[in-house]
Amino acid sequence: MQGMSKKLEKQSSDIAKDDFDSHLERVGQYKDRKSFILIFEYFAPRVKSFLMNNKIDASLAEEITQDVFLTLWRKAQQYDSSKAAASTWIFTIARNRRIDFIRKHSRLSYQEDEQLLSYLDEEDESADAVDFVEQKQQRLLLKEAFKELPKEQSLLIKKSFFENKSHSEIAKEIQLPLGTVKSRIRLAMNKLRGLINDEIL
Amino acid sequence: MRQEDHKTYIAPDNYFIDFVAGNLNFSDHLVIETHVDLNAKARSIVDDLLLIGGSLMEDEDCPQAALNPSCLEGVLSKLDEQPDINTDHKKQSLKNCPKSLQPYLEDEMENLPWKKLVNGVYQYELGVECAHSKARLMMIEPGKGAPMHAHGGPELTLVLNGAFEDESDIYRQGDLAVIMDYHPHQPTAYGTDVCYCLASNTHGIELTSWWGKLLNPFIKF
Repeated sequence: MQGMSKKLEKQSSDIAKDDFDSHLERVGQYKDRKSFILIFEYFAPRVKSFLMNNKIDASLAEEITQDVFLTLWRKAQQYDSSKAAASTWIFTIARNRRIDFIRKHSRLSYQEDEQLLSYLDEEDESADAVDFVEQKQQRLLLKEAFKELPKEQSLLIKKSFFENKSHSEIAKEIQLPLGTVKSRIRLAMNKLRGLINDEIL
Repeated sequence: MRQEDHKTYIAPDNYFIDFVAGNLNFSDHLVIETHVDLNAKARSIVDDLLLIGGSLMEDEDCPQAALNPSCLEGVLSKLDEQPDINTDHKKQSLKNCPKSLQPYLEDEMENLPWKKLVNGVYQYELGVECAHSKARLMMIEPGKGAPMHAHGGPELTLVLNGAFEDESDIYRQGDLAVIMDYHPHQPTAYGTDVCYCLASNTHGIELTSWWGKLLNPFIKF
């Protein structure tokens, strides 16, 4: 009996360091600070870098990063690793906070809160019908598919996400016509969708 | 014909990428956000992009910015605090209004103080604007249409209710039409319902028919 409860009471130290999904689940279920710290130490410098742009300097980015992780802590109870990756949650919260911030400081009334994150929480009937395993597998496939994209295509998406550049700014920077940039993006996205469907069907 | 058998029109991919990255101007952002609220296909693309964003963030080569040593302690010290409850977060529950638009509307769409543009076509400005873009709601009565006009920049038009026809394409609820620069067009309400749209355009519009040109100085979009 003792052995069994030990098995159930898995410690955060039993979980691989980079299994962030399981760590976030522990944060949600047990308010496990060790797991939280592991997630923070890996992701916080990335979130900070993601947040920094011409409107958000380093010290402000750090403040918002703290806020992102407080939100993660508070929302973690709703996290379900069979439905979403921990990294998706972190990226989504960071992205929402960045947009939120820019809006608030543009004198616009705006209340987004966790708009996109709520999409992830919602009980989606169609999603429920799908096997959990299949969902997880789909996630892995999408990640793999992204890695297999030609560099010129994946670079555009990376630049959009992590350098806060619009497509016309990217086009200027890499000295390509905007039309070419857009068609490369279309190619990349079609390929991602295509790859996933091929594998699943 | 069942609803799902219709052709659906979703935004070009670059809009979704810029939306997820947060690089759109405010009015385009609101239109895409509402598009995602109303259109399952659009939403699934955004879900995929959020996943890609997360996995890029998890990647070995994701850019990192060093934190102050006190950063983690700062967070840990606040974990047990009760979050501030945002009291000014309006809890609206407009029945026929997508979630993303609720904060901008005081009343149901049919009760808004619409301003008449031309016969059968009305607009309501949402107060979401920045240097070059503006978001507004349009209401078109059945069978009526906007005068032939062109835009000084791309225009996004999302159908919230009803349907409209433009150059023989029929746009229904959740569909998004992207009209590129200087392309004259004449959207008309389709079917028997009033058509409500959310539109964002970057540089104002210009009426292009001969009588429209006469009206240009008087119509402010």
